[in-house]
Amino acid sequence: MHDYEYKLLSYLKDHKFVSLNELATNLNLNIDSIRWSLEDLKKNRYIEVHESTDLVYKVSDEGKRDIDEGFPEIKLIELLESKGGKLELKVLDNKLGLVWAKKNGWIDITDGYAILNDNGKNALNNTYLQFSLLKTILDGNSKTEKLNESILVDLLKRKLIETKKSMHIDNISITNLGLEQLKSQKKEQKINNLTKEILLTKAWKDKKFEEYDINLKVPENYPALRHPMNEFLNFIRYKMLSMGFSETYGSIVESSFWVFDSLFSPQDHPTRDMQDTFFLSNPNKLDIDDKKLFESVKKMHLRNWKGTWKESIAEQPVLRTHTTSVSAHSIYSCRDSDFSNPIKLFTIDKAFRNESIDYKHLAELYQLDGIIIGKDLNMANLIKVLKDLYGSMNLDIKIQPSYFPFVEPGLEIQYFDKSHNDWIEMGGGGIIRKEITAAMGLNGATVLAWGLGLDRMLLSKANLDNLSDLYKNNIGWLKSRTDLNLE
Amino acid sequence: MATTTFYNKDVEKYTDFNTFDSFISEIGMSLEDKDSNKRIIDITPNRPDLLYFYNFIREFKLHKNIVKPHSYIIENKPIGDLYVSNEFNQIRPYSIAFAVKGLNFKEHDLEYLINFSDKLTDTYGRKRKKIALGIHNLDMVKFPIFYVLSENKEFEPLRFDGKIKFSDFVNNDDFKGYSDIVKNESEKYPILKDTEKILSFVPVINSAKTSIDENTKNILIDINGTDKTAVLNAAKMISSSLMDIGCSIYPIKVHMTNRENSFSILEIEDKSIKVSSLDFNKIIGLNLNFDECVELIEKSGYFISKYKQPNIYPIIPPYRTDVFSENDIIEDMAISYGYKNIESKDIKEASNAGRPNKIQIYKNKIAEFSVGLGYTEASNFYLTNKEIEFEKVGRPYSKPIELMNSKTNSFTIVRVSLLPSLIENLSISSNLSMPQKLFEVGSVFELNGDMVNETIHLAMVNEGPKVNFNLIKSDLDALFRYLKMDYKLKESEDPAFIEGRRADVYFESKKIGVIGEISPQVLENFSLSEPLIALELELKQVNYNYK
Repeated sequence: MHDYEYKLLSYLKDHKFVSLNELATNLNLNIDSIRWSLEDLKKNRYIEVHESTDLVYKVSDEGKRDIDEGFPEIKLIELLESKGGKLELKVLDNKLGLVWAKKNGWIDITDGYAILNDNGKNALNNTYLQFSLLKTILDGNSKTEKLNESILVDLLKRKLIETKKSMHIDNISITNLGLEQLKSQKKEQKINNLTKEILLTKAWKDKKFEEYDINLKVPENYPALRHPMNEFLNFIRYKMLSMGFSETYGSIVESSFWVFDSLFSPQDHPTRDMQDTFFLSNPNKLDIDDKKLFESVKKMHLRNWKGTWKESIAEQPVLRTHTTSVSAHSIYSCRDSDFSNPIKLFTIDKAFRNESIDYKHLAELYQLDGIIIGKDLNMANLIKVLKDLYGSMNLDIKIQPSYFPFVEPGLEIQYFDKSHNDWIEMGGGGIIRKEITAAMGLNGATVLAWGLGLDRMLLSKANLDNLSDLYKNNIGWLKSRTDLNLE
Repeated sequence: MATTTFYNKDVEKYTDFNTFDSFISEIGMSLEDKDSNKRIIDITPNRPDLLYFYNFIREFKLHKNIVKPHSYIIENKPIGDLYVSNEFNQIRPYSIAFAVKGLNFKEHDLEYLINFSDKLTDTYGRKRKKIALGIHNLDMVKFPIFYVLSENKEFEPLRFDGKIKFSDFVNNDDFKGYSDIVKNESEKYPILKDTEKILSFVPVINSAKTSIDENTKNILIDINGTDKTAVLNAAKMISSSLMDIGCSIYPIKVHMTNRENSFSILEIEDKSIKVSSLDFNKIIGLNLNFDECVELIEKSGYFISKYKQPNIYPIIPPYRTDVFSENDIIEDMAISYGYKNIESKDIKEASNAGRPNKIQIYKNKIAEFSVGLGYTEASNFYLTNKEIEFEKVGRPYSKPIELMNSKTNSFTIVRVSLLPSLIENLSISSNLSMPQKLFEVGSVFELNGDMVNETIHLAMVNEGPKVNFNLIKSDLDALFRYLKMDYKLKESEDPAFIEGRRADVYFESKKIGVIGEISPQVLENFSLSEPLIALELELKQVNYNYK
């Protein structure tokens, strides 16, 4: 039983023949909710509602017109007055006016003339009773008992008013069934809103809670969330950290030396084209402070690629095209280590390509680069790390040969994409060329390395097919997106 | 990467398609596309030799043990002379030429050869800049031949049907092709000619008079370029490839006219590299015996000149330009062994503890805090443009890193702040219910002389009908309380904000940011129709760490 219904029944138990207003005042409820509750109680026969029918009068459309325009008989006597009190009948087309003026005794009719008499002249100066009654009814005083009976009859006859019936609650009283119901409800009166008071008085102990409609539609709610890419990058970080790798951090602005030359990429290599790499006009030069390293990298190039090697080309600043430039710094930073334990490093950050943006290409992409520097490392070790890493993400991978200037042997990682039913390239790796490690002064250590792009991996997890949608930052999408199911 | 096309009909002569297709990926190439007629294969840039169908088949036969590697010898019997003029030498310093006899073109053979030479000069030859290569009908050539610069005159280009002047040819966009490479001030044109006629306009197009067709049996190949090694490598690659389909090679004596007795002829050196079976096992992580290693080297196409356990001395085949050291041969051996057959092995290590990066920890901490305040995280591109970064927010131009050659107009600089992009984000989100709260924590970059400063910034924007200065100030307050930092506010002059409702944020007497209500002009610039409050703070200088 609803709380209101309970309140009503309780009141009715102690008060006989209660009116609607009394309920509203004493229970402090609004009339509409009382009516609504009463309907239910009545249906269940917990109460009796005594209703009576009142007769009320209502002004008809014609009546309203007469109020606005004046009664025809008034118009007639006004006309007669203005014409000297006498007019030939045949010039008068106001038949209704004639009939009622005659009936009211305002005019005499003799020899085809209507003549305004003294009664009529009086009427012009007094309020017309039919008019004032009609006006009273229009203003809402339709209680029948106070109205002049004979004039009412006249108005009804003229169809200036109509009668209407109106239902009206006289009083309400509780039935025996209602009393019984109340008794049983008393035992388990339910709590609607749990309040501090209920908690303090422990009133909840012997009461049940009002049952809510659990299927009711509720307002939609959207949380503040992390950006899905950052959520994904953190996930990859956890994976790498859990495998014992430490995270490094390097600059996106680099000299070509660190991005290309130190990694064995010849100076006329197509990837060093303006077409593919963002060169900078400001700054326009980045010096390589470490002259010893600079010289040994130069020697590496001249010995292997022959031809020429220009310092000015190595000093050209670029936005790094791969995060392997960070790995290059790392390899060089570790040159004095004794490698008694393998050094395992990774970096996750942006790399840049001078691409025209479309659904498959972005100018900046997140990459993961991992390296392991140590003694006696081999391809079988690298394959193991890759299988562990991707296996932990439930990705089935395949290793096959591939070519990157800075590794030898080189490999490519492919994963089996269930939605395309095909092997898709995911990244590359291998053993960093001995020429590179030697130029960087690493003695007796091997460097295993691999790298991969991360944006495309996230696409399907985020239910997107357009890479650039990842970075539109439409707040609606950011807040309503679903779980990435990273595991 | 370059692709090459092989016809199924030709492949079928050697093997079935399944075996062929898996072979493609086993050697590190990839099948780009296939249909009922042909297969298109991606060739990695280290193996341009495999662009040629018969070289690919040779590789297949070697790997499957159908043929054994052999050595390549060219007899030093020149059959003609090539004289290089001094002027020509200035533009294309390195030249080589040789004759090939005994060709027998069938079906797609001619197409394969032409494609090979085109793709080779395109990729390895860097679009003919580094090397250019011409193929002529040897029987039509009257030796000696000459590399010279010619006055502007008429010649008969291949596939042109008629005569045209060099100048008209290079000025016609339909024909000029590679002629920009040799544009020079003297208005002279590099050519190869014999005693009677022009053989080619170098490195643009051959002459029709000595063109080759299916019936040609003997050809002349001339190669010139700017890189000595590349010119020689190309000559070795082409000559050995043609030797392997049964042709004989005859060198041509190349005379550099500025030095009387200086000439060069094509030689295929007998260069070997020492490979140790121990090194192979160590680098790949296997345990093969010496004989197995020898077999892997042979399968990879290396003729073995001698061996003495554990060392093997394979000769680098003349078609391989990518073999620098022992490791390159070890990679070939691993490919022959099959990457899929390499069993993975755990790394031996005493400890295995990864250290998280401090910058990333810091960024995550700030991000989690901001989400807690009800802000949703945005991630914007680092690349932006001056319009968004400065003009639309009414801020004066600072010193961004500028891109020299962007293909995209909207990417011309690297961001110096986060706020403009966040406001831009709101302008595409504006049909949503208010308030809208976004933040970003990330790097911004600014020039400091020739140095680049990277700092971690936090920016927050809050758009809605009821936002005001106090609201963003309490977010700032909350952040500094959380970070256990004190701050001071001073009147700001940042033009992106409303005068009198903006403040610079100071920490330890250094200005580190700004908060306030965004100016209506800025809102109008971004087509926003609700009030907007914002903050941007410089939280941390980035120090790079590499280990």
